Amino acid sequence: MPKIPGTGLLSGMRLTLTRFFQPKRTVMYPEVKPDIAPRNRGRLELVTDEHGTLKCETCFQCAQACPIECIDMGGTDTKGRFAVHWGPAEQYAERREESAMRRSGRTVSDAAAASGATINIAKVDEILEAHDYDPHHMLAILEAIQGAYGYLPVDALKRVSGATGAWYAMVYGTATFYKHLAFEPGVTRSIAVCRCANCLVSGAGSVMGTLSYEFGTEFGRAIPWSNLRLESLPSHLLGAPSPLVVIDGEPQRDLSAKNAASWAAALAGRYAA
Amino acid sequence: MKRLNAPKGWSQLLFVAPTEPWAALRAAASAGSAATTATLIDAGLRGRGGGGFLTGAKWQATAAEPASEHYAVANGYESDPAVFTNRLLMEENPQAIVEGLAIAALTVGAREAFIAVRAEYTEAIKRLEAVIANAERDGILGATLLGTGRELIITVRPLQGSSMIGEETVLMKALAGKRGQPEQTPPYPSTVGYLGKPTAVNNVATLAAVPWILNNGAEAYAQIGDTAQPGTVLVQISGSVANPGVIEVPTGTPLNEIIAAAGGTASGASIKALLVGGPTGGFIPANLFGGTPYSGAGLKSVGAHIGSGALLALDNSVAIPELATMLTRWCADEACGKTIPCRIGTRRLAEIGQRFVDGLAGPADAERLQKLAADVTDSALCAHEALAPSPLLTGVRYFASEFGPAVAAPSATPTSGRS
Amino acid sequence: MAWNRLTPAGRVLAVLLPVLAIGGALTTALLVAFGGAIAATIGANLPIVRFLVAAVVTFLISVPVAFLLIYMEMKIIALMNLRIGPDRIGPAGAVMSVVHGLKVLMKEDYTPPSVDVPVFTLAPVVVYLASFMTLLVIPFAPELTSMGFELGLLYFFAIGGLSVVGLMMAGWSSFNKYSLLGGIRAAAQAISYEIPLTLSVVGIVILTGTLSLPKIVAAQDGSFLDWFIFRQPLAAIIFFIAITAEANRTPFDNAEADQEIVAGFATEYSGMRFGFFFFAEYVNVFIVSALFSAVFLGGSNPPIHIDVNPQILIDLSALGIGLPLIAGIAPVIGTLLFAAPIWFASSRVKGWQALIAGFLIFGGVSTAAVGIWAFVMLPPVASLIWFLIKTFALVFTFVWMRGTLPRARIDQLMGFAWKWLLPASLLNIFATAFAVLIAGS
Repeated sequence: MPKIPGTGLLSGMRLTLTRFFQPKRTVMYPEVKPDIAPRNRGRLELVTDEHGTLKCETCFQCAQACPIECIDMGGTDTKGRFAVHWGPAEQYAERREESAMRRSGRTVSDAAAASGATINIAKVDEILEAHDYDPHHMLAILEAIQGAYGYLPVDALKRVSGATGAWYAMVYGTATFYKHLAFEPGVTRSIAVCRCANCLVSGAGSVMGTLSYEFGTEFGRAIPWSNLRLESLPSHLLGAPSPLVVIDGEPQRDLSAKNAASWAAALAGRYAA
Repeated sequence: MKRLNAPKGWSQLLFVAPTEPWAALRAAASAGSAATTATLIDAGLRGRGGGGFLTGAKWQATAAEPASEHYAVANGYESDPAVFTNRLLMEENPQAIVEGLAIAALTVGAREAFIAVRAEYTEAIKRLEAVIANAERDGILGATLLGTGRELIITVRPLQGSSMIGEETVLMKALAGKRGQPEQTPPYPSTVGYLGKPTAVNNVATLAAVPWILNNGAEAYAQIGDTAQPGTVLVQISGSVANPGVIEVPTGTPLNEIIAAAGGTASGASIKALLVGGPTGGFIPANLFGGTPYSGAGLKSVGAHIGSGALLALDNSVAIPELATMLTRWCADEACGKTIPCRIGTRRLAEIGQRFVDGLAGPADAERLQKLAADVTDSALCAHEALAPSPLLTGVRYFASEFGPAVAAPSATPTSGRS
Repeated sequence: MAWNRLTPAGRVLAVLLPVLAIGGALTTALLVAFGGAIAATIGANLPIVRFLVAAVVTFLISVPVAFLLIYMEMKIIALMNLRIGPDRIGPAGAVMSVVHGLKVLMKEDYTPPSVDVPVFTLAPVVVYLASFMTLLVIPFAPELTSMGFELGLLYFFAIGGLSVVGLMMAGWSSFNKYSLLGGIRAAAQAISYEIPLTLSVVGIVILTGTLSLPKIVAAQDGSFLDWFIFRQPLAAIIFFIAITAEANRTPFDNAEADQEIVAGFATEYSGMRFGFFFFAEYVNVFIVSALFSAVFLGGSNPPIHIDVNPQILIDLSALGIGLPLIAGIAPVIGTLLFAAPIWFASSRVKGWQALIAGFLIFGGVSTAAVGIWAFVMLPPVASLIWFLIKTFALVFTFVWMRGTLPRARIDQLMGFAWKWLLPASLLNIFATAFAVLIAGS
């Protein structure tokens, strides 16, 4: 409260008068563009390098990091197993509850676990019993489930999460990381090429190139018209020659870089689905 | 893949089963934890998994860590797909490994220990489990350790599905059933390991040497091989040599002697370079074979490292850029995906390598390669990432002519971010 | 010259030029033919003619004045807010308010269905008229007053009060409770502040003994110390506050409080009707500032009389036929004269750009020259310019207050009027009367 009534008004007016003469803050857009930080996330855009290659790896980190979940990516996962989306679960017909549960990071709720299982769930219970319901043995449990069913059914994973108390996201995290676990039945047979240094020196690279070209797919993916998958062999079989190609666990001793093309043609005929 | 006979004068101890099984264990039990670690420190035993830490010091640190539980883990998971040294060791001398692990568990105060093995090594798993079953039947392991009240349960854990499991922090995760992605170290597993408890993680080759040291004394071990890093290393030499196979090599042996022990160059070939250390190893040109001892320090000075113990002899028909690119691509595909420089950097390195192979490399590519390699190494969370640029870097360093005119002068020795 | 190939500007010119030409020719013909008779009639009824001309001119200048005030307000408040305000339309945004006016004209003129149509339609007219009729008594200069009659001040307050009627009509006829509230508030505010307004000038009336505005201005002749603001400071303050309230300016703009009750009493008005209210307000501001400067700031009197008599007499009739020649050639020569240095000095300036610049400079220089001559030689010009300077200083102060002060609540402003200003103005009257009595005896 100023001491003399009216001096408050006058001091305010003095302030605006000084402002009248001060330099103005207006940025004369568009002649002057504002100073935007180089990392400004103004617009989502995929960038290419100077060779035209897309730099995006579809690693989902941006979608996971986005606090409002507005980023979506589509495509098949790196093992060619299923179509992946990362957006609001409500939008996608397939695995809607799945993705929500996976993203929630929580144990499968009782209601979700109680919904009717489409498979014989007794085997899962036996396996869990054998491993003492210990989530630290998740890898062994999942391998056993794959051994029992031939793949990892979704209902089995839900049961595992509900019974062991492990977060559903954790179960999925483990299941999707290890290459020997599969989510879909049917693609059980594989053509695997070893990529150890010895085999690479012996021409495994060109074998891989020929096979992927002939089959029209890439390594790590299912061959579209068959029940085969092209894979990379995790370790060189003892005593096997180089380059090592293993079909259904059988090392092929005659396949080399030179006859890979004809082999591929023959294989295509034999394993057509 | 067979074991080769070593030339005379090379000490052989790893494949020798202890004459009296479990004697070392009893000695360690009676001597106590402090004395055991002191013996190992005097012996100078260093980890054979690539880290090269003093084993005794590591066990001391783990034991000293206050926690409710301690664990001991034997790392028999070989990440390098081409190497079988650990497999042979586990198949032929499971006794020493189990005994070494038991001594480790005793020293750090663990009640549970694991041997992580590749699931494909069915024979090795069988033999290890047989040794453990016999020991439990005899009361040496199991509910009571050597008749004392404490228990020591050793389990064999077959693992598969990712080649990253060989890295110790990844191994901790895989044993706990989680995604195999490494953690930042420090804190090392000796502080935060399996389930967050202090864990002593050792390669099976390291553990196999422990009973021998306790039975024969630290002095005897310290005299073998290189003074800074005593003992022997299991080396698998293959490629253009007359007798490819696994040899136990005393540390500090020059590379040309190792090649000679494998029968020398294969007939009709001439060795251009050695790929030392596996798919993340370095190329060493032929002119450096005589002057490079096979030890951690010796190999580091030329840009390579012991790694998985693999030596691949490359003859003149091998194109270094192509091989380096394919190895880098393998690294990129096997990457766990946790860190961006590894997940994406190795992919870009492979692309740059491919441009060199295709002859499309521009003048900026050589510099970009060096910078990217430095970034990938500096930001490494694990050895896989730190060493992934090694093939391309050593290739460019020693075989610049094969990479084409775009390659600049060789840079300084690439160093790993983890010492 | 096809019609559809012309640009809009071209079309305007194509219509305007013939019309002007024909109109000019007709007027000239009429004047030539009946010039004498027309001059005689005018001479006989000079006062009426004078009044008519004055009224028309006054009405005509009020609209540009409103535009100018709108532009001033936008620009000055922006500059006080550290912004730039309009700067794209026209040089420094000067054409902005014209554009506003045009926009208002082009809006849909909508009469809500339930309104009282005659009252609704007439309300803006009443408000507008109330403002403009008061313009007639403003003493711009001793020779430039439309109506300098004896009751000027009283007339001013009386007609000014009519605007209250207009506001009430607007508030009532809009079938809208908020408009009604706005109208009632406006009426209450206007009525409350009229009493201090009229009472504060009673002191002036006592001192000068007249209600005639030109005479009040003349009473302040001399130096600026004769201005009534020094002789009646309290009255000046009260008057200032009261006219702020009468003009519905911040801090007393509850009636139209944009942020609170949409447009208050003018909520239901759109298009040109709203434009009427809008313009009326700004003309009101001008008028009220003019009144203050006339009554308290000496009107058209210069602060200090400087007795210079330069006697720059230019006898234009002596030039004879040379006058049109000079009138035609001088601009051309002046343009070239001013364009040449520009064109020679900078290599980037093109010829036509230099010519335009030269023309503008010539225009500025010649206007300045004529202006200065007029200022010195023609007393009305000087007086007018002084008057306008004082008026616009007041306008600036009003705009300044709008950009600074918060709005007073309706009960606060009513209380202020009745509890403070009224007693203060009564006190002023007594003091003035007392002083006059003492000085007189």
